[in-house]
Amino acid sequence: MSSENFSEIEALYALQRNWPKFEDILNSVVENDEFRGFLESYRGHHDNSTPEHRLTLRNIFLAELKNFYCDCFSQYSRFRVPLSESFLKDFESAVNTALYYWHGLGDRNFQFRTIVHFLGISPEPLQVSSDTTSLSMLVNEWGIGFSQEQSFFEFPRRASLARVCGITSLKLKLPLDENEKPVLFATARLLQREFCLLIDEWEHCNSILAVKQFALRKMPQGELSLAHSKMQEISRTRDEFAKWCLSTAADFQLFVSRAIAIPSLDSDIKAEVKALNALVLSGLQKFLLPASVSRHVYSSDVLSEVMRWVGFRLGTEPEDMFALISELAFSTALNKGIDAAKILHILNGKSFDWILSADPSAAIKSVCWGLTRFEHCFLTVLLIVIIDQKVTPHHLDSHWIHTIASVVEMPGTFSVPEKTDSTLQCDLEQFGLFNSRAIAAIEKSLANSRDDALKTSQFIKEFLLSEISPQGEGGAPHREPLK
Amino acid sequence: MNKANLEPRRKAAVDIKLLRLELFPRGRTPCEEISHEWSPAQPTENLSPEAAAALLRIEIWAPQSVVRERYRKLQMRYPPEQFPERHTQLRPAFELLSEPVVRLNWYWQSGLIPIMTSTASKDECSLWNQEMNQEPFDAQKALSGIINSFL
Repeated sequence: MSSENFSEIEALYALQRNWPKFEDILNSVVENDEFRGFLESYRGHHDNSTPEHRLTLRNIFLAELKNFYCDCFSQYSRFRVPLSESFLKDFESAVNTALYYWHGLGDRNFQFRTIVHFLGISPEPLQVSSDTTSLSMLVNEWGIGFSQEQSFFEFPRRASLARVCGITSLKLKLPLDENEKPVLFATARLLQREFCLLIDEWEHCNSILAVKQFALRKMPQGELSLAHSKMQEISRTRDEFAKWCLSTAADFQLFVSRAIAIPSLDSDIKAEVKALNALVLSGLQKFLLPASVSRHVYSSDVLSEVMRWVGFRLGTEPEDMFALISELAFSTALNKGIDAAKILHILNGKSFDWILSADPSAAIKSVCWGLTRFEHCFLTVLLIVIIDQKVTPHHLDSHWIHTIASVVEMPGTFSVPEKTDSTLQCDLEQFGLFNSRAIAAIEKSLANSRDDALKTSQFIKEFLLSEISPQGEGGAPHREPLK
Repeated sequence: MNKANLEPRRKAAVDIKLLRLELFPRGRTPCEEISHEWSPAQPTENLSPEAAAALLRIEIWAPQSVVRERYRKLQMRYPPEQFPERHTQLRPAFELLSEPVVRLNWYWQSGLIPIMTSTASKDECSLWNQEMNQEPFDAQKALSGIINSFL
C-alpha cells in the first residue's frame, strides 16, 4: 500500500474514531428551545427567514464543524503527503454516506438537512486551515463538500451503498459450503432492506426537488433569469442524486447476476435474490420517472450508470424486453454504436414466450430529447410489435403506446438535427417489414378501442406511415440502408 | 406485534403513497413482474405479515421453504374440503409469506421499513436464524463498511 493510500485510510479511521464527537456537534442543535417546534412542522423545506438569534448558534456550529474536520485532516498530514483532490472526494463520499445514515432523536425526519435549514446555513465555501492543512468546505442541505480547487457539486459525493453493505469485498467460493449459504441469504435480505430505504430517500428528496421547482415556476416574470439559473442548479442536483442511486442499483444488480449464476442454488436463496431483482427493477423505474414523466433531461453520466445496470440485467435475463429496449434507446441517445439485430432476431425467431418486465415506453420517453424522428419511430415500431406479441395481453398495453404518442406531439421533441451518422444500425428493408407489422397491430387495436383512444391510435398510425413514405406527413428523407 | 418490525419510513412517504394511488387506479399494473404492488388481490387490507405468521405459527421472515413446508402440513391436517373456513384463513397467509416479493411489497405499501429479524436458533433453521440478524445501519457502521471496502 502506498503512503498516500495509507494516509487516506488513516484519515478515514480518524473520521470513524471521532464520529461521536461529530454527532455531538450535530446534536447540540437539539438543545435550542425552538428546535422541537421546528422539527414538529418540518417537511424538508425552509422559509428564507432565520431569526437573528439563531445566527450566533450557526456561527458556533460552523466553527465547531471546521475544527472537527481540521482534526481529521491533521491525521492525514502527519504523513506529509499533500492533500489530493481525489482523496478529498473519497473522504467527502464517506462523510456524506455516513450522514445519509444519520438521524437525530430516532426520528427519520431529523436529518442533516434539518439542521442546515434550522440554522439557515447558506452554501458558501468556508476556509478550513491549520498549520498543515488548507482547503475549503461547503455545507449545504445535501451534505458537506471538501475541495482544494473550490470545485463543489450541488449534491456532494456519496459512496455506492454496495460499499456500505460489503458486497464489493464479498467473495464466495464455489460450490457454496454450508457456512456460506446463510451469508448469501442474509446479504440478499440486507440489500433488499437497504434498497427499500434508498427508494424511500429517492421519493423523499425527489419530492423536495419537485416542490422547489414548482415554487420557481411561479416566480414573477421579472426574475426569470434568476429562476432559470436556479432551475439549472436543481437539475444538476437531481442528476448527481440519480447518479448515486443508479450506481447503487447497478452494483446491486451485479450482485444479483452473480448470485443467480451460482449453479444449483438453494431455492430459498434464489427466491430472495429474485425478490431483490424485482425490487431493483421497480426502483430503477422510479429513478427514471423524472425523465420519463417530467421531461427532465438526464446528463450522459446518469445514462451511463443506467447502461451499466442494463448490462448486468441482460446478463441474467438476456431476453428482458425492457432492458433490451432501454439499451437500444439509451445508447442511441448517447450516440454509442448499437446493433438492433439482437432485438429483431428475438422478435423474428422465438415468439410469445418472453417476459415484459417493466414499462419499456418509459425508457424511450426518458431519452426522446436525444433521438431523431426516425430513431424515435424505429423504437416506437419495436415497442408496438413487442406489445402485440405478448402472451397475455394487458389492458395497460395500449396506455404504454399512447404515452409514446404524447412524446411525438410535444414541440421540441425532435430538436436533434438529422444525424449524419446515426449509430442505430438496422436494415431498412427489415424496418419496413416491422413498420407494417406495427401498423397492422395499431389497426387491430383501432377496431376495438374506445372513442377517446381512437384519435391517439390514428395519430400513431399516421406517424408510422410518415416514416416509411417520403411523401408522407413529416417528410422524413428516404434513407439508404444504414448497414 | 413486535415493535422492532415496525419502523415507519418518513412522513412524506405517506403523502407520496396517496399520490401513487391517484396515479394508478386500483387493479392496474404499470409493471408486470412486480404487479403485486398495485394489485387489489394482495391481502394488504386485512392481513399483515404478523397476522399471517401467527396464523401459520411461523416467523414472519421465515425462508420460503419453511413457509411451504408448514403450509403443506397444515393442509394435510385440515384438508380444504373438510375445513373450508380454515382454508380461507390459511391460504392468504401462505401467499403473503411464501413469496418474498409480496411480503416486501406489503412493507413498502404500508410505509414501513422491512427489518428482517429472527429468534430461531441455528439448529432450528440453518439458513435464517438469530445469528443472521442485522441491526439497521447507523453512521458509524456505514463508515466502517466504507473503510473496509477501501482496504
